[in-house]
Amino acid sequence: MNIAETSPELPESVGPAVTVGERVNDAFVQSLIAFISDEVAHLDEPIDDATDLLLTGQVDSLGVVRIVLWLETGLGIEIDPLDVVLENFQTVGQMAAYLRSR
Amino acid sequence: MVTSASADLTQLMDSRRLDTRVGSLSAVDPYADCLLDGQTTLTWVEAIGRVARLAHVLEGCGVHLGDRVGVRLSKSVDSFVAVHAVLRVGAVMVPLDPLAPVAQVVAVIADAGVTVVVGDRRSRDLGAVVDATLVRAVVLPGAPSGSSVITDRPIQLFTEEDIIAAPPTPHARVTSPTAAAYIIYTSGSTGRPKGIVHTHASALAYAHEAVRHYGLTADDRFANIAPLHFDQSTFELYAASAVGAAVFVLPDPVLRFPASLSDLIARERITIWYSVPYLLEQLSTRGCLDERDLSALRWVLFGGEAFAPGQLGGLMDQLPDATFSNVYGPAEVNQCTVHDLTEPPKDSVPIGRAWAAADVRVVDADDLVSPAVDRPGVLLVSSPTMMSHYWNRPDLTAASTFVDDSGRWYVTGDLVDRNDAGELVFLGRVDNQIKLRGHRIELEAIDQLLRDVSGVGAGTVVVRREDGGDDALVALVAPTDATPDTQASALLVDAINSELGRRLPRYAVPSAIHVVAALPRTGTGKIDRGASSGLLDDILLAEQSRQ
Repeated sequence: MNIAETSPELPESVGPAVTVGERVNDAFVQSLIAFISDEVAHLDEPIDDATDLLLTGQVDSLGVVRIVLWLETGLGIEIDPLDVVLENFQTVGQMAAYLRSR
Repeated sequence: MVTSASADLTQLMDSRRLDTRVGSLSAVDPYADCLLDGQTTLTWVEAIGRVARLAHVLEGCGVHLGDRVGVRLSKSVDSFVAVHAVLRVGAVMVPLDPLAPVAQVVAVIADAGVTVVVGDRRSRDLGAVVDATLVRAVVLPGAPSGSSVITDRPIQLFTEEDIIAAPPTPHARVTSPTAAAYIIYTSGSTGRPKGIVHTHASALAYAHEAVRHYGLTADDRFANIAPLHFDQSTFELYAASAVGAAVFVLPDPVLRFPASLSDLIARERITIWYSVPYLLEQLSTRGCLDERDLSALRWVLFGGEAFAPGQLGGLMDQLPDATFSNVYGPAEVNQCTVHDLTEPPKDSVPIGRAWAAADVRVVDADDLVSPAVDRPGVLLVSSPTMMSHYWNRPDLTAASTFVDDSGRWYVTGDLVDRNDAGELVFLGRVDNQIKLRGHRIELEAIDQLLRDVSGVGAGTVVVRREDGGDDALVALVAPTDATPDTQASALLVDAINSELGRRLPRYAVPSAIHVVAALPRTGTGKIDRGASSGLLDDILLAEQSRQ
């Protein structure tokens, strides 16, 4: 099992001083979905930004940790453990909303 | 038919408790919280009413005394309601893992002869389960009318509308205390399902002793963490209702977010916690406990697996007001020993001493009649909390039962010893005691040493047959840092080798150590040694193909 995280493929930055929220654009959301589908999700079902990832056991507690790390690495930010709560991670849409609110 | 004075589980959720004692069970406040899950709160009168209505629907399905009814629900107030409804109609409750693959669920249904299932309306494989079995009726609490289960077989389907419209059954069906109440399935070492049959009497004996030992009262607030198919849930199902306390049934998604979990425990003023060590470790490291007011939490029970002393000590420092207890007991006997901790442990935590409801004996593994004196032996247990038998497995029942003048004993298959203080210490399963080049090795002992190494979150050791025909010990560890880089992994491996080399005889030191992201776990959260061996196969195969 490869434990070293692969770097997310990010769209090219649009210029200096781009906020975290601005980097969380549609392309970023798509790459997040791809990461979850390919490397985290337990079931073979398609995922979109509204899919409930928790209800059907798609993402387990280790999966949550790996998503958080992927986001931190990809966006160069630190996510407060207090923010790693159900409400912010139930769907990809919620993750994007949380990141954009920072 | 009126429930007789003989004690059975139906008395727990009996409408007469709303204004009077029933047997030895206290009256409950009808408007006090009974069941909560974050979306729904049921007071006692509401919960008892719902149990009685669902029971009526089950009667309408043609459920008779002694029939096996499957309950396959993810955690919600309805999971608890369903259990009590099945008991109310005198049927035998068979909990089914909502996350288990279809084949596994089908095997249990076939083995137990389940014909009616109370299922989850969101489940997408229910049709496949029905197709492969003789299930003839499905009840879906919460499902809107017009819901369907896609199956080729003819079945009766009942939805939320049917439950709400049903009159509450006026009385529970008569059952004898020795009648089967529920069957808990474990996979056993051969993979063939093995059903542990508990009776009303064994469940109530466990509930009453738990009430006594932990001083449970109606003011306690329980959190149900274990799914129904894991017997730790019997603590909340029967002990909580025995004293009239509220149970917050924790939905699975919350359990994956330690910060959400700690917030909920604080907000809901949970007073008693019972889970496997893994969840407590997650709470300790990722649960932001210093941001929460957990002063209401008075007792933390853990069991099912060893809790690494360092990690337990850390949690005890974070929760200074709580009593901590290591609870031991195979599912066949519910609980039988307990060890209370008042200060952080210095080394591995004992399983302690028998609690008041159990007699224990340590005997020679090869001669059950002889006491094991000054050496490890197999633990025997005799208790009113014992199972009655293994479902349809008289061979297994006979093999695990030892009868002498003092009574019927369950042979646990667990190796134990006594420490200097006379407390029992768990060494490992007799099955996990292997012989390697003539030496006896307890695999769990090595597991424990792995977990003691700083930086190791979880660890297990498996036996590999090498090409030359020799056996080797190989360790798999998941670090506390979920994704270390290759250098950190190498340092960890080095630390493990050094530590184990210091503490183990040479033959017991693993010949290889693999660092993985996580160790496979069973449906109850314990490390799965068999699946870990499979994971090792995959790792070695991947390494070979890269060469």
